[in-house]
Amino acid sequence: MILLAFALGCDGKGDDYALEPLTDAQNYAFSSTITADAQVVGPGEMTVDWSGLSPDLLGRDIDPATQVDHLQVVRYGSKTVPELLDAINADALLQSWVTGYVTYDNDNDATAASISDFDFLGAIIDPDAEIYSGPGYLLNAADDDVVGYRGLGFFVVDDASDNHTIYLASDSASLDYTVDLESAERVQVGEADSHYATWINLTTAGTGSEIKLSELDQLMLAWYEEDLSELEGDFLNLEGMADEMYQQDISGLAGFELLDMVSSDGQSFAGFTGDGTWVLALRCTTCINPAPPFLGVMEYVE
Amino acid sequence: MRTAWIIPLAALAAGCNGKDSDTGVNEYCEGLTVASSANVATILEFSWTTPDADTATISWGKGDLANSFEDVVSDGTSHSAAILGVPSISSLTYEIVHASGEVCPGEVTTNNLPATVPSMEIGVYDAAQVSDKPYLAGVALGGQPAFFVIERESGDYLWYRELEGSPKLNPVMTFANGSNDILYNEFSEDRDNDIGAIYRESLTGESVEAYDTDWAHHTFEQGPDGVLAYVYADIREVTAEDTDDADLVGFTAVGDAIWLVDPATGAISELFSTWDYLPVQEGDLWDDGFYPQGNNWTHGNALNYYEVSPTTGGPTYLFSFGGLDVILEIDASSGEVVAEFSGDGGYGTDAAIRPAAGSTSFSFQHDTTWTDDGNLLMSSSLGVGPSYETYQIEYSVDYGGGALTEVWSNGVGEKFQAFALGQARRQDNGNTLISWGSGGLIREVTADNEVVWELGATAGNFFGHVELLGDIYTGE
Repeated sequence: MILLAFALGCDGKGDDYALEPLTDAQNYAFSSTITADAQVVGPGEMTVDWSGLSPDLLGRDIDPATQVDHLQVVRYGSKTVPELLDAINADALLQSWVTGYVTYDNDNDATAASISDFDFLGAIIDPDAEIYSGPGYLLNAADDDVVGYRGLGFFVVDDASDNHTIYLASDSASLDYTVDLESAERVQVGEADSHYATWINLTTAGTGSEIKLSELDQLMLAWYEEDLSELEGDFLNLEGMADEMYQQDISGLAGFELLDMVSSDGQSFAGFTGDGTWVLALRCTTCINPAPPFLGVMEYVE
Repeated sequence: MRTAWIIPLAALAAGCNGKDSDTGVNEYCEGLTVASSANVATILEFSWTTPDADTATISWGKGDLANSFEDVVSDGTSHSAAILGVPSISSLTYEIVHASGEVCPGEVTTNNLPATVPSMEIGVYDAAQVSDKPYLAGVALGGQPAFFVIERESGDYLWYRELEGSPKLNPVMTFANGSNDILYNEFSEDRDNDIGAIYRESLTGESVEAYDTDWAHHTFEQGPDGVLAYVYADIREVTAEDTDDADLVGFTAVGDAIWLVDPATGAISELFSTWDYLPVQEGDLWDDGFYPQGNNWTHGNALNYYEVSPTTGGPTYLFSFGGLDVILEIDASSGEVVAEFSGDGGYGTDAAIRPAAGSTSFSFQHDTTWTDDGNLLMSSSLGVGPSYETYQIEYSVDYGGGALTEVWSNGVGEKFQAFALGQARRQDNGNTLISWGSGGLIREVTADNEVVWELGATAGNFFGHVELLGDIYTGE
């Protein structure tokens, strides 16, 4: 009776259950590596300059003055930059490695700031005491309106260096990835009164690691004229390529009725069609890795 | 058996975030709704009526009926239950078994945890050596903040409450004495306005009480008869009478006071102020900008109440000042200082009891507590830059000789850093629960410093106040 229970939604659409619970076999495959060279600065006061952050880490357009809303510098006391990169690539950064962090809210459309203008919960820092050699430092930039980091950089402190500017630019870090949309089983859909999607049975993310269901916070349903190979070719621009796109906040939910999704211009999702490519993605907007933990390609069944 | 957890029927309206169960299996359970609480995915709420007066128990499980819930609230023919700590985003089977013999079976899918609830990882769990309280209650900060109760063995959430976060800060959540209502504080993250308040709520989110606590910061404590004591930012201009340092006259300095809230009336009164005891000095945090109103003088950061003080035998508050490396013990009735403790380099008065020669000193201390042995236990951080380190230290107090003698410590040389917050709490079995606060790490260690439980927060998350909990249904 489990399927019957799934079918009985609050909206009463349960008579024609057309979408099975999503499965791991339907999930795409994705692997990525973030690489970066550590910049070297001298100890103490320094300038953080993000004027060169255009495009962003994923190659998207960005105005570094108006679209960098927050910056953060994190000091990892016992970790080198290569160790930090390994941990980021494995999604295994731990807070206990952090020995200090400060943030900067870019309320004045700036493109540079002194580290002494950063603070921790309102408390300012003494750069001479807090910027010192040994640890690896991570610098990131975020935009209130865009998922994930816009920029990512790393630096170390060398007591002999007379450089006191750290740059966050488009090439401060790069993301290399491979993606396979072709191999997974298709998510079969057809004409139906209900397309209730539930992710309750998922266990493995597209990266091959355990999927953290509680991190899923956005459902994206998109239609493309392009075929799968074209989507693979510009995978991190799936949002920009979409000819139709519906997004839904799903934080706290175990499933969602796709027919209740609405596009940004107010159009309701009217059901699947047999042309083009339909993609359903479950995203984690707070994760460093921009790849959706789940992405399934739909197959229309007459 | 778990004791009854009674919640208002109004709170039991089935939410539509999850999938309601199959309600047509048995007509005996008329109008049965079974669903995750609209606010908390790990609370499963039942509501139904029966044709005749009856009582019931509920068996439930994930693929079985291994769990039993006996505290169904029945009012003749109307019944309700709220089972706490069910697994999120799971398909569960249940049976409502009535005393009359009628059985209502069903299935339900619980909601997912919100993405804003932080991930935590259990690093160590030694069942044979951990203290007997199975749950950890506390505050997660850093990312999107939340209150939480987790099961210590699995790390699974039993309960959580999402918080708004910036510009509000809610670093302390505890259970109200004798209840499973929660008490928590709230104040401006930047300490730049007087929005301070203490709230009392049920676990399902209903407001019970709210108290204004203007210019509150850091922490609060439950005193006798429900009195709430909080740390008040006492901001004044320094006069020649306040200091021995003429250079400080004219500065605006932020000291601290203990203010008491009468729960019956909400009336507020002052018990103690640092301005009446400590001379204003330029402490370690004087220029850190923590308070926009003036210089950060005392930096009160912990307040703990004791019914029987080892110093006086009567009720006192231990009041910690991280900006001065000073701890004052305040008589809970008179507001008089009954003892003063200071680190080696601290800014205590001549009356201060300081670490004895050979004992590790303390600095920037947090969560100063009395152990049952009458020892002083705290989290402490010493050093500058790369040498900065947070450790936990326990002293025996020689009042006559005026010295603190180190009797136990943990973490020295491990190079963990709490650049904010931090706790050390002795447990009944002699273990110590330790939080490195901003370091995002919690451990329970034995008297021999063996780690018997460890909880780590994922990057970006860390811990405010935490405490062990024996039973979430009673809040004890």
